[in-house]
Amino acid sequence: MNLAVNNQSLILALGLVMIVLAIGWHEKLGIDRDMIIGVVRAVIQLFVVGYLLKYVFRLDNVWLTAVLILIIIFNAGYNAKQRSNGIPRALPISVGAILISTAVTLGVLMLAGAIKFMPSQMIPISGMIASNSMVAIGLCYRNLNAEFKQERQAVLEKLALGADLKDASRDIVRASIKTGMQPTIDSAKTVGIVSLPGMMSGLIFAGVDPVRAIKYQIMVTFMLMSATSIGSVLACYWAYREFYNERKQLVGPSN
Amino acid sequence: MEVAVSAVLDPDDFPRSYSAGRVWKLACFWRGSKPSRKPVLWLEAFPIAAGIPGSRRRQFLPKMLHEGQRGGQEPMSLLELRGVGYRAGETTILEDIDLTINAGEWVTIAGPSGSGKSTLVRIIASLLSRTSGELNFAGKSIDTYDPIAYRRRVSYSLQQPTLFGETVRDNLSFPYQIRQLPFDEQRAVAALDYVGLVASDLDKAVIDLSGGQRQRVALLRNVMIYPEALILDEVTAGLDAENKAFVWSMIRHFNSDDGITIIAITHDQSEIDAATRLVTLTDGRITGGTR
Repeated sequence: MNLAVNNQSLILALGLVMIVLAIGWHEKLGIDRDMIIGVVRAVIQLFVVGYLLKYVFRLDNVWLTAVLILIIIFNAGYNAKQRSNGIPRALPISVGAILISTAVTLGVLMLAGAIKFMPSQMIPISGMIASNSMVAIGLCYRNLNAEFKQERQAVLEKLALGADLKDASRDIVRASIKTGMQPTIDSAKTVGIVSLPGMMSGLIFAGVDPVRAIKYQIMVTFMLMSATSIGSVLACYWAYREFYNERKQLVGPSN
Repeated sequence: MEVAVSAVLDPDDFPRSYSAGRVWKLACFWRGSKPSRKPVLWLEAFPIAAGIPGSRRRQFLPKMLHEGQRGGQEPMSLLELRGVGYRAGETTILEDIDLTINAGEWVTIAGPSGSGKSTLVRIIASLLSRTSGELNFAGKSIDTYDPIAYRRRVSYSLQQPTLFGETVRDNLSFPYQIRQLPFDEQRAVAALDYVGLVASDLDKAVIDLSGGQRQRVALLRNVMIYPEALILDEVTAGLDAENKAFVWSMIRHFNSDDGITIIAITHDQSEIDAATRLVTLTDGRITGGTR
Protein backbone atom coordinates (compact mmCIF):
# COMPACT_ATOMS: atom_id res chain seq x y z
CA MET A 1 0.00 0.00 0.00
CA ASN A 2 1.56 3.26 -1.06
CA LEU A 3 -1.13 5.60 0.25
CA ALA A 4 0.16 8.36 2.48
CA VAL A 5 -2.87 10.36 3.55
CA ASN A 6 -2.53 11.15 7.23
CA ASN A 7 -4.30 13.68 9.42
CA GLN A 8 -1.62 16.27 8.83
CA SER A 9 -1.87 16.04 5.06
CA LEU A 10 -5.65 16.26 5.32
CA ILE A 11 -5.40 19.47 7.31
CA LEU A 12 -3.03 20.87 4.70
CA ALA A 13 -5.45 19.81 1.95
CA LEU A 14 -8.04 21.90 3.74
CA GLY A 15 -6.01 24.79 2.33
CA LEU A 16 -7.70 24.02 -1.01
CA VAL A 17 -11.08 24.72 0.55
CA MET A 18 -9.66 27.99 1.89
CA ILE A 19 -8.72 29.00 -1.65
CA VAL A 20 -12.28 28.31 -2.83
CA LEU A 21 -13.69 30.21 0.15
CA ALA A 22 -11.42 33.17 -0.62
CA ILE A 23 -12.57 33.22 -4.25
CA GLY A 24 -16.20 32.99 -3.13
CA TRP A 25 -15.76 35.82 -0.64
CA HIS A 26 -13.87 38.01 -3.11
CA GLU A 27 -16.36 37.48 -5.91
CA LYS A 28 -19.32 37.80 -3.51
CA LEU A 29 -20.75 34.51 -4.73
CA GLY A 30 -22.72 34.09 -1.51
CA ILE A 31 -21.93 30.40 -1.29
CA ASP A 32 -19.42 30.49 1.59
CA ARG A 33 -22.01 29.39 4.16
CA ASP A 34 -23.16 26.49 2.01
CA MET A 35 -19.58 25.51 1.33
CA ILE A 36 -18.58 25.47 4.99
CA ILE A 37 -21.67 23.41 5.84
CA GLY A 38 -20.81 21.07 2.95
CA VAL A 39 -17.22 20.60 4.09
CA VAL A 40 -18.18 20.02 7.72
CA ARG A 41 -20.93 17.57 6.76
CA ALA A 42 -18.67 15.68 4.38
CA VAL A 43 -15.96 15.29 7.02
CA ILE A 44 -18.37 14.15 9.74
CA GLN A 45 -20.36 11.80 7.49
CA LEU A 46 -17.22 10.19 6.08
CA PHE A 47 -15.67 9.71 9.52
CA VAL A 48 -18.86 8.12 10.84
CA VAL A 49 -19.14 5.87 7.82
CA GLY A 50 -15.47 4.96 7.99
CA TYR A 51 -15.75 3.74 11.58
CA LEU A 52 -19.10 2.08 10.88
CA LEU A 53 -17.71 0.19 7.88
CA LYS A 54 -14.66 -0.86 9.87
CA TYR A 55 -16.96 -2.35 12.49
CA VAL A 56 -19.27 -4.02 9.95
CA PHE A 57 -16.40 -5.48 7.95
CA ARG A 58 -14.88 -6.94 11.06
CA LEU A 59 -18.23 -8.40 12.16
CA ASP A 60 -18.87 -9.92 8.69
CA ASN A 61 -22.54 -10.71 9.41
CA VAL A 62 -24.87 -11.52 6.51
CA TRP A 63 -27.94 -9.94 8.10
CA LEU A 64 -26.19 -6.77 9.13
CA THR A 65 -24.79 -6.44 5.60
CA ALA A 66 -28.26 -6.92 4.13
CA VAL A 67 -29.76 -4.35 6.49
CA LEU A 68 -27.06 -1.83 5.56
CA ILE A 69 -27.73 -2.42 1.86
CA LEU A 70 -31.45 -1.87 2.44
CA ILE A 71 -30.70 1.36 4.30
CA ILE A 72 -28.58 2.53 1.37
CA ILE A 73 -31.41 1.66 -1.03
CA PHE A 74 -34.04 3.41 1.08
CA ASN A 75 -31.92 6.55 1.36
CA ALA A 76 -31.31 6.55 -2.39
CA GLY A 77 -35.04 6.11 -2.99
CA TYR A 78 -35.87 8.90 -0.57
CA ASN A 79 -33.45 11.24 -2.33
CA ALA A 80 -34.82 10.34 -5.75
CA LYS A 81 -38.33 11.04 -4.42
CA GLN A 82 -37.21 14.53 -3.38
CA ARG A 83 -36.58 15.26 -7.06
CA SER A 84 -40.01 14.05 -8.12
CA ASN A 85 -41.61 17.44 -7.62
CA GLY A 86 -44.85 16.07 -6.25
CA ILE A 87 -45.37 12.93 -8.35
CA PRO A 88 -47.71 10.82 -6.19
CA ARG A 89 -46.30 7.59 -4.74
CA ALA A 90 -42.79 8.64 -5.76
CA LEU A 91 -41.25 7.08 -2.61
CA PRO A 92 -42.44 3.48 -3.15
CA ILE A 93 -41.75 3.81 -6.88
CA SER A 94 -38.19 5.05 -6.29
CA VAL A 95 -37.39 2.54 -3.56
CA GLY A 96 -38.87 -0.29 -5.63
CA ALA A 97 -36.97 0.70 -8.78
CA ILE A 98 -33.67 1.08 -6.93
CA LEU A 99 -34.22 -2.15 -4.99
CA ILE A 100 -34.85 -4.16 -8.15
CA SER A 101 -32.07 -2.51 -10.18
CA THR A 102 -29.60 -3.09 -7.33
CA ALA A 103 -30.76 -6.67 -6.70
CA VAL A 104 -30.58 -7.67 -10.37
CA THR A 105 -27.17 -6.08 -10.88
CA LEU A 106 -25.71 -7.50 -7.68
CA GLY A 107 -27.24 -10.88 -8.44
CA VAL A 108 -25.65 -11.05 -11.88
CA LEU A 109 -22.28 -9.90 -10.53
CA MET A 110 -22.42 -12.56 -7.81
CA LEU A 111 -23.49 -15.29 -10.21
CA ALA A 112 -20.65 -14.28 -12.51
CA GLY A 113 -18.30 -14.57 -9.57
CA ALA A 114 -17.18 -10.97 -9.91
CA ILE A 115 -18.05 -10.20 -6.31
CA LYS A 116 -18.77 -12.22 -3.18
CA PHE A 117 -21.39 -11.69 -0.52
CA MET A 118 -19.05 -10.10 1.98
CA PRO A 119 -19.57 -6.65 3.49
CA SER A 120 -16.34 -5.15 2.15
CA GLN A 121 -17.53 -5.86 -1.39
CA MET A 122 -21.30 -5.75 -1.17
CA ILE A 123 -21.66 -2.45 0.67
CA PRO A 124 -19.45 -0.24 -1.54
CA ILE A 125 -20.80 -1.82 -4.73
CA SER A 126 -24.42 -1.45 -3.55
CA GLY A 127 -23.72 2.19 -2.78
CA MET A 128 -22.34 2.79 -6.25
CA ILE A 129 -25.28 1.06 -7.92
CA ALA A 130 -27.94 2.69 -5.77
CA SER A 131 -26.49 6.19 -6.12
CA ASN A 132 -26.29 5.94 -9.90
CA SER A 133 -29.78 4.53 -10.05
CA MET A 134 -30.94 7.36 -7.81
CA VAL A 135 -29.47 10.03 -10.08
CA ALA A 136 -30.97 8.36 -13.14
CA ILE A 137 -34.42 8.14 -11.54
CA GLY A 138 -34.20 11.77 -10.41
CA LEU A 139 -33.51 12.78 -14.01
CA CYS A 140 -36.40 10.62 -15.19
CA TYR A 141 -38.78 12.37 -12.79
CA ARG A 142 -37.61 15.79 -13.84
CA ASN A 143 -38.08 14.89 -17.49
CA LEU A 144 -41.50 13.32 -16.92
CA ASN A 145 -42.69 16.50 -15.20
CA ALA A 146 -41.25 18.76 -17.89
CA GLU A 147 -42.57 16.68 -20.78
CA PHE A 148 -46.06 16.20 -19.38
CA LYS A 149 -46.21 19.97 -19.01
CA GLN A 150 -44.80 20.72 -22.43
CA GLU A 151 -46.66 17.97 -24.29
CA ARG A 152 -49.93 18.43 -22.44
CA GLN A 153 -51.86 19.28 -25.61
CA ALA A 154 -50.51 16.26 -27.50
CA VAL A 155 -51.31 13.93 -24.59
CA LEU A 156 -54.85 15.31 -24.39
CA GLU A 157 -55.28 14.86 -28.12
CA LYS A 158 -54.15 11.27 -27.93
CA LEU A 159 -56.53 10.60 -25.05
CA ALA A 160 -59.33 12.34 -26.95
CA LEU A 161 -58.73 9.99 -29.87
CA GLY A 162 -59.19 7.04 -27.51
CA ALA A 163 -55.58 6.16 -26.79
CA ASP A 164 -54.92 4.26 -23.58
CA LEU A 165 -52.54 5.75 -21.05
CA LYS A 166 -49.55 3.86 -22.38
CA ASP A 167 -50.10 5.02 -25.96
CA ALA A 168 -50.77 8.59 -24.84
CA SER A 169 -47.55 8.69 -22.78
CA ARG A 170 -45.27 6.49 -24.87
CA ASP A 171 -43.13 9.29 -26.37
CA ILE A 172 -42.75 10.98 -22.99
CA VAL A 173 -41.80 7.75 -21.22
CA ARG A 174 -39.22 6.91 -23.90
CA ALA A 175 -37.68 10.37 -23.75
CA SER A 176 -37.52 10.18 -19.95
CA ILE A 177 -35.86 6.76 -19.91
CA LYS A 178 -33.27 8.08 -22.36
CA THR A 179 -32.68 11.14 -20.19
CA GLY A 180 -32.15 8.94 -17.14
CA MET A 181 -29.63 6.72 -18.90
CA GLN A 182 -27.82 9.42 -20.85
CA PRO A 183 -25.19 10.43 -18.26
CA THR A 184 -24.13 6.79 -17.73
CA ILE A 185 -23.91 6.19 -21.48
CA ASP A 186 -21.96 9.42 -21.97
CA SER A 187 -19.52 8.59 -19.21
CA ALA A 188 -19.12 5.04 -20.58
CA LYS A 189 -18.12 6.60 -23.90
CA THR A 190 -15.47 8.78 -22.37
CA VAL A 191 -14.21 6.48 -19.66
CA GLY A 192 -10.44 6.25 -19.82
CA ILE A 193 -10.22 9.09 -22.35
CA VAL A 194 -11.54 12.00 -20.34
CA SER A 195 -11.61 10.59 -16.85
CA LEU A 196 -10.09 7.76 -14.93
CA PRO A 197 -13.09 6.89 -12.82
CA GLY A 198 -13.20 6.50 -9.07
CA MET A 199 -12.86 2.77 -8.73
CA MET A 200 -9.99 2.48 -11.18
CA SER A 201 -8.21 5.54 -9.79
CA GLY A 202 -8.61 4.20 -6.27
CA LEU A 203 -7.11 0.84 -7.16
CA ILE A 204 -4.21 2.41 -9.08
CA PHE A 205 -3.73 4.77 -6.15
CA ALA A 206 -3.60 1.80 -3.79
CA GLY A 207 -0.87 0.23 -5.91
CA VAL A 208 -2.86 -2.25 -8.00
CA ASP A 209 -1.59 -3.02 -11.50
CA PRO A 210 -3.51 -0.74 -13.97
CA VAL A 211 -4.35 -3.70 -16.19
CA ARG A 212 -6.07 -5.36 -13.26
CA ALA A 213 -7.65 -2.08 -12.26
CA ILE A 214 -9.31 -1.60 -15.65
CA LYS A 215 -11.00 -4.98 -15.36
CA TYR A 216 -12.74 -3.72 -12.25
CA GLN A 217 -13.63 -0.54 -14.07
CA ILE A 218 -15.12 -2.48 -16.98
CA MET A 219 -17.23 -4.38 -14.49
CA VAL A 220 -18.32 -1.11 -12.89
CA THR A 221 -19.24 0.35 -16.29
CA PHE A 222 -21.44 -2.65 -17.13
CA MET A 223 -22.94 -2.66 -13.70
CA LEU A 224 -23.85 1.04 -13.77
CA MET A 225 -25.38 0.76 -17.21
CA SER A 226 -27.54 -2.10 -16.05
CA ALA A 227 -28.52 -0.35 -12.83
CA THR A 228 -29.46 2.96 -14.48
CA SER A 229 -31.36 1.33 -17.30
CA ILE A 230 -33.37 -0.98 -15.04
CA GLY A 231 -33.97 1.85 -12.56
CA SER A 232 -35.05 4.31 -15.30
CA VAL A 233 -37.33 1.88 -17.09
CA LEU A 234 -39.08 0.78 -13.90
CA ALA A 235 -39.42 4.26 -12.44
CA CYS A 236 -40.75 5.75 -15.72
CA TYR A 237 -43.24 2.95 -16.34
CA TRP A 238 -44.49 3.08 -12.76
CA ALA A 239 -44.52 6.87 -12.48
CA TYR A 240 -46.25 7.91 -15.71
CA ARG A 241 -49.55 6.46 -14.51
CA GLU A 242 -49.45 8.89 -11.62
CA PHE A 243 -50.07 11.74 -14.06
CA TYR A 244 -53.58 10.40 -14.64
CA ASN A 245 -56.56 9.83 -12.39
CA GLU A 246 -58.75 6.74 -12.09
CA ARG A 247 -60.99 7.99 -14.94
CA LYS A 248 -57.86 8.00 -17.14
CA GLN A 249 -57.80 11.78 -17.34
CA LEU A 250 -54.58 13.79 -17.38
CA VAL A 251 -54.20 15.52 -14.01
CA GLY A 252 -50.49 16.17 -13.54
CA PRO A 253 -47.96 17.61 -13.31
CA SER A 254 -49.13 19.31 -10.15
CA ASN A 255 -47.20 22.52 -10.86
CA MET B 1 -69.07 20.23 -52.06
CA GLU B 2 -69.79 17.08 -53.98
CA VAL B 3 -68.60 13.90 -52.38
CA ALA B 4 -66.61 11.51 -54.50
CA VAL B 5 -69.01 8.75 -55.41
CA SER B 6 -66.53 5.99 -54.94
CA ALA B 7 -63.53 7.22 -53.12
CA VAL B 8 -62.54 3.73 -52.02
CA LEU B 9 -62.95 1.05 -54.61
CA ASP B 10 -62.65 -2.08 -52.61
CA PRO B 11 -65.50 -4.52 -53.10
CA ASP B 12 -65.10 -5.60 -49.49
CA ASP B 13 -66.28 -2.20 -48.40
CA PHE B 14 -69.66 -2.47 -50.05
CA PRO B 15 -72.67 -1.86 -47.85
CA ARG B 16 -74.32 -5.14 -46.97
CA SER B 17 -77.65 -3.98 -48.38
CA TYR B 18 -76.16 -3.71 -51.82
CA SER B 19 -75.30 -6.80 -53.75
CA ALA B 20 -73.61 -5.55 -56.95
CA GLY B 21 -70.19 -5.82 -55.34
CA ARG B 22 -70.89 -9.34 -54.23
CA VAL B 23 -72.13 -10.26 -57.71
CA TRP B 24 -68.91 -8.92 -59.15
CA LYS B 25 -66.80 -10.76 -56.60
CA LEU B 26 -68.68 -13.95 -57.37
CA ALA B 27 -68.09 -13.44 -61.08
CA CYS B 28 -64.38 -12.90 -60.46
CA PHE B 29 -64.26 -15.93 -58.23
CA TRP B 30 -65.93 -17.97 -61.00
CA ARG B 31 -63.30 -16.77 -63.44
CA GLY B 32 -60.64 -17.63 -60.88
CA SER B 33 -59.29 -14.10 -60.78
CA LYS B 34 -58.89 -11.59 -57.99
CA PRO B 35 -61.68 -9.01 -58.05
CA SER B 36 -60.41 -6.00 -59.94
CA ARG B 37 -61.69 -2.67 -58.84
CA LYS B 38 -62.82 -0.49 -61.69
CA PRO B 39 -65.92 -2.40 -62.83
CA VAL B 40 -67.29 -2.27 -59.31
CA LEU B 41 -67.62 1.47 -59.70
CA TRP B 42 -69.76 0.98 -62.80
CA LEU B 43 -71.79 -1.80 -61.28
CA GLU B 44 -72.48 0.48 -58.40
CA ALA B 45 -73.42 3.49 -60.50
CA PHE B 46 -76.26 1.88 -62.46
CA PRO B 47 -78.62 0.98 -59.65
CA ILE B 48 -78.09 4.38 -58.09
CA ALA B 49 -78.84 6.14 -61.36
CA ALA B 50 -81.87 3.91 -61.93
CA GLY B 51 -83.08 4.63 -58.41
CA ILE B 52 -83.28 0.96 -57.53
CA PRO B 53 -84.28 0.57 -53.86
CA GLY B 54 -81.42 -0.64 -51.68
CA SER B 55 -78.76 1.01 -53.81
CA ARG B 56 -77.21 4.09 -52.32
CA ARG B 57 -74.48 6.55 -52.80
CA ARG B 58 -71.11 5.45 -51.43
CA GLN B 59 -69.90 7.25 -48.39
CA PHE B 60 -66.68 9.16 -48.44
CA LEU B 61 -65.24 6.73 -45.94
CA PRO B 62 -66.92 3.36 -45.85
CA LYS B 63 -68.24 2.36 -42.47
CA MET B 64 -66.32 -0.85 -42.25
CA LEU B 65 -64.66 0.38 -39.10
CA HIS B 66 -66.96 1.88 -36.60
CA GLU B 67 -66.81 2.20 -32.86
CA GLY B 68 -69.82 0.92 -30.98
CA GLN B 69 -73.15 -0.23 -32.33
CA ARG B 70 -74.81 1.81 -35.00
CA GLY B 71 -78.09 1.40 -36.73
CA GLY B 72 -80.84 -0.76 -35.37
CA GLN B 73 -82.35 0.43 -32.14
CA GLU B 74 -80.37 3.55 -31.33
CA PRO B 75 -81.70 5.53 -28.39
CA MET B 76 -83.06 8.90 -29.37
CA SER B 77 -80.91 10.91 -27.00
CA LEU B 78 -77.24 10.18 -27.37
CA LEU B 79 -76.05 12.53 -24.66
CA GLU B 80 -78.05 13.76 -21.74
CA LEU B 81 -76.73 16.31 -19.25
CA ARG B 82 -78.79 16.94 -16.11
CA GLY B 83 -77.64 19.71 -13.77
CA VAL B 84 -74.00 19.23 -14.73
CA GLY B 85 -71.58 21.49 -12.89
CA TYR B 86 -67.83 21.83 -12.63
CA ARG B 87 -65.85 23.52 -9.89
CA ALA B 88 -62.09 23.97 -9.80
CA GLY B 89 -61.29 24.61 -6.13
CA GLU B 90 -63.49 27.52 -5.11
CA THR B 91 -64.20 28.67 -8.66
CA THR B 92 -67.42 27.61 -10.34
CA ILE B 93 -66.79 27.09 -14.03
CA LEU B 94 -70.02 25.37 -15.03
CA GLU B 95 -73.32 25.32 -13.24
CA ASP B 96 -76.57 23.50 -13.73
CA ILE B 97 -76.17 22.53 -17.38
CA ASP B 98 -79.20 20.75 -18.82
CA LEU B 99 -78.75 19.61 -22.37
CA THR B 100 -80.01 16.74 -24.47
CA ILE B 101 -78.28 15.91 -27.72
CA ASN B 102 -79.92 13.43 -30.04
CA ALA B 103 -78.09 11.00 -32.28
CA GLY B 104 -77.29 12.59 -35.63
CA GLU B 105 -77.91 16.10 -34.38
CA TRP B 106 -75.65 19.11 -34.93
CA VAL B 107 -75.30 21.33 -31.88
CA THR B 108 -73.40 24.59 -32.04
CA ILE B 109 -72.06 25.94 -28.76
CA ALA B 110 -71.32 29.65 -28.60
CA GLY B 111 -70.51 32.14 -25.89
CA PRO B 112 -67.86 34.61 -24.79
CA SER B 113 -64.31 33.53 -23.87
CA GLY B 114 -64.13 32.01 -20.41
CA SER B 115 -67.80 31.06 -20.40
CA GLY B 116 -66.98 27.38 -19.91
CA LYS B 117 -67.49 26.08 -23.45
CA SER B 118 -64.24 24.11 -23.57
CA THR B 119 -64.79 22.77 -20.04
CA LEU B 120 -68.25 21.58 -21.06
CA VAL B 121 -67.02 19.73 -24.13
CA ARG B 122 -64.08 18.27 -22.20
CA ILE B 123 -66.57 16.86 -19.70
CA ILE B 124 -68.61 15.41 -22.57
CA ALA B 125 -65.38 14.01 -24.05
CA SER B 126 -64.51 12.43 -20.67
CA LEU B 127 -61.26 14.37 -20.40
CA LEU B 128 -62.63 16.02 -17.26
CA SER B 129 -65.12 14.71 -14.72
CA ARG B 130 -68.11 16.83 -13.74
CA THR B 131 -68.23 17.73 -10.07
CA SER B 132 -72.04 17.63 -9.93
CA GLY B 133 -75.02 16.47 -11.96
CA GLU B 134 -75.63 13.55 -14.25
CA LEU B 135 -74.21 12.80 -17.67
CA ASN B 136 -75.68 9.92 -19.65
CA PHE B 137 -74.45 8.47 -22.91
CA ALA B 138 -76.75 6.18 -24.89
CA GLY B 139 -79.03 5.91 -21.88
CA LYS B 140 -76.35 4.95 -19.35
CA SER B 141 -74.25 7.04 -16.99
CA ILE B 142 -70.88 7.96 -18.47
CA ASP B 143 -69.31 6.51 -15.29
CA THR B 144 -70.37 3.03 -16.37
CA TYR B 145 -68.24 3.21 -19.54
CA ASP B 146 -64.56 2.52 -19.76
CA PRO B 147 -63.14 6.01 -20.50
CA ILE B 148 -60.92 4.78 -23.34
CA ALA B 149 -63.75 2.91 -25.10
CA TYR B 150 -66.05 5.89 -24.57
CA ARG B 151 -63.55 8.33 -26.11
CA ARG B 152 -63.36 6.15 -29.19
CA ARG B 153 -67.12 6.62 -29.56
CA VAL B 154 -67.20 10.31 -28.65
CA SER B 155 -64.17 11.79 -30.36
CA TYR B 156 -62.92 15.25 -29.52
CA SER B 157 -60.82 17.52 -31.69
CA LEU B 158 -59.02 20.10 -29.59
CA GLN B 159 -58.51 23.73 -30.43
CA GLN B 160 -55.31 24.31 -32.44
CA PRO B 161 -54.44 20.65 -32.74
CA THR B 162 -50.86 19.49 -32.87
CA LEU B 163 -49.82 16.75 -35.24
CA PHE B 164 -47.91 13.76 -33.84
CA GLY B 165 -44.66 12.26 -35.00
CA GLU B 166 -42.97 13.15 -38.24
CA THR B 167 -45.33 12.46 -41.11
CA VAL B 168 -48.98 12.55 -42.09
CA ARG B 169 -48.90 8.74 -41.97
CA ASP B 170 -47.92 8.84 -38.28
CA ASN B 171 -51.11 10.78 -37.64
CA LEU B 172 -53.55 8.85 -39.76
CA SER B 173 -52.22 5.50 -38.54
CA PHE B 174 -52.53 6.52 -34.88
CA PRO B 175 -56.21 5.55 -34.53
CA TYR B 176 -55.35 2.08 -35.87
CA GLN B 177 -52.22 1.76 -33.77
CA ILE B 178 -54.09 2.40 -30.52
CA ARG B 179 -56.69 -0.23 -31.45
CA GLN B 180 -53.99 -2.69 -32.54
CA LEU B 181 -55.49 -2.79 -36.02
CA PRO B 182 -53.49 -2.86 -39.26
CA PHE B 183 -53.28 0.56 -40.89
CA ASP B 184 -55.75 0.86 -43.77
CA GLU B 185 -53.60 2.77 -46.22
CA GLN B 186 -56.20 2.68 -48.95
CA ARG B 187 -58.72 4.36 -46.71
CA ALA B 188 -56.12 6.93 -45.65
CA VAL B 189 -55.37 7.75 -49.29
CA ALA B 190 -59.09 8.13 -49.99
CA ALA B 191 -59.42 10.41 -46.99
CA LEU B 192 -56.46 12.51 -48.12
CA ASP B 193 -57.93 12.73 -51.59
CA TYR B 194 -61.17 13.91 -50.07
CA VAL B 195 -59.47 16.76 -48.22
CA GLY B 196 -57.54 17.90 -51.28
CA LEU B 197 -54.26 16.12 -50.58
CA VAL B 198 -52.67 13.40 -52.65
CA ALA B 199 -51.46 9.89 -51.87
CA SER B 200 -47.81 10.95 -51.74
CA ASP B 201 -48.71 13.40 -48.97
CA LEU B 202 -49.06 10.40 -46.69
CA ASP B 203 -45.30 10.50 -46.23
CA LYS B 204 -45.08 14.26 -46.19
CA ALA B 205 -43.46 15.78 -43.11
CA VAL B 206 -46.03 17.47 -40.91
CA ILE B 207 -43.89 20.60 -40.70
CA ASP B 208 -44.29 21.05 -44.46
CA LEU B 209 -48.10 21.26 -44.25
CA SER B 210 -49.91 24.58 -44.37
CA GLY B 211 -52.16 25.62 -41.49
CA GLY B 212 -55.28 24.55 -43.37
CA GLN B 213 -53.77 21.20 -44.33
CA ARG B 214 -52.74 20.56 -40.73
CA GLN B 215 -56.26 21.21 -39.57
CA ARG B 216 -57.67 18.83 -42.18
CA VAL B 217 -55.21 16.07 -41.28
CA ALA B 218 -55.94 16.58 -37.58
CA LEU B 219 -59.65 16.27 -38.25
CA LEU B 220 -59.13 13.16 -40.35
CA ARG B 221 -57.46 11.53 -37.34
CA ASN B 222 -60.80 11.75 -35.53
CA VAL B 223 -62.75 10.10 -38.37
CA MET B 224 -60.34 7.46 -39.69
CA ILE B 225 -62.50 5.17 -37.60
CA TYR B 226 -65.91 6.77 -37.34
CA PRO B 227 -67.02 7.88 -33.90
CA GLU B 228 -70.66 8.27 -32.97
CA ALA B 229 -70.21 11.85 -31.92
CA LEU B 230 -67.55 14.34 -32.93
CA ILE B 231 -66.76 17.28 -30.68
CA LEU B 232 -65.04 20.19 -32.38
CA ASP B 233 -63.43 22.96 -30.38
CA GLU B 234 -63.09 25.98 -32.68
CA VAL B 235 -61.66 23.84 -35.43
CA THR B 236 -61.72 26.67 -37.96
CA ALA B 237 -60.12 29.32 -35.73
CA GLY B 238 -57.15 30.89 -37.46
CA LEU B 239 -58.03 29.52 -40.90
CA ASP B 240 -58.67 31.68 -43.97
CA ALA B 241 -62.14 31.85 -45.51
CA GLU B 242 -61.41 29.19 -48.11
CA ASN B 243 -60.03 26.65 -45.63
CA LYS B 244 -62.83 27.44 -43.22
CA ALA B 245 -65.45 26.68 -45.88
CA PHE B 246 -63.63 23.48 -46.78
CA VAL B 247 -63.43 22.21 -43.21
CA TRP B 248 -67.10 23.02 -42.58
CA SER B 249 -68.17 21.21 -45.72
CA MET B 250 -66.20 18.19 -44.48
CA ILE B 251 -67.97 18.31 -41.14
CA ARG B 252 -71.38 18.81 -42.77
CA HIS B 253 -70.69 15.68 -44.74
CA PHE B 254 -69.83 13.67 -41.60
CA ASN B 255 -73.11 14.83 -40.10
CA SER B 256 -75.56 14.56 -42.98
CA ASP B 257 -74.19 11.61 -44.92
CA ASP B 258 -72.59 9.55 -42.18
CA GLY B 259 -74.91 10.44 -39.33
CA ILE B 260 -72.15 11.50 -36.93
CA THR B 261 -73.48 13.70 -34.14
CA ILE B 262 -71.63 17.01 -34.18
CA ILE B 263 -71.01 19.23 -31.17
CA ALA B 264 -69.12 22.30 -32.35
CA ILE B 265 -67.82 25.26 -30.40
CA THR B 266 -67.46 28.38 -32.48
CA HIS B 267 -66.86 32.10 -32.24
CA ASP B 268 -67.58 32.66 -35.90
CA GLN B 269 -70.76 34.70 -36.39
CA SER B 270 -71.56 33.14 -39.77
CA GLU B 271 -71.33 29.67 -38.24
CA ILE B 272 -73.54 30.78 -35.34
CA ASP B 273 -76.08 32.22 -37.79
CA ALA B 274 -76.10 28.98 -39.77
CA ALA B 275 -76.57 26.79 -36.68
CA THR B 276 -79.54 24.46 -36.70
CA ARG B 277 -79.38 24.17 -32.94
CA LEU B 278 -77.53 26.75 -30.92
CA VAL B 279 -76.58 26.65 -27.25
CA THR B 280 -75.21 29.84 -25.74
CA LEU B 281 -73.12 29.73 -22.58
CA THR B 282 -72.44 32.73 -20.38
CA ASP B 283 -70.52 32.49 -17.11
CA GLY B 284 -70.88 28.73 -17.00
CA ARG B 285 -74.64 28.64 -17.54
CA ILE B 286 -76.79 28.06 -20.57
CA THR B 287 -78.30 31.45 -21.20
CA GLY B 288 -80.25 30.68 -24.29
CA GLY B 289 -80.06 29.98 -27.92
CA THR B 290 -81.47 26.47 -27.70
CA ARG B 291 -83.71 25.95 -30.63
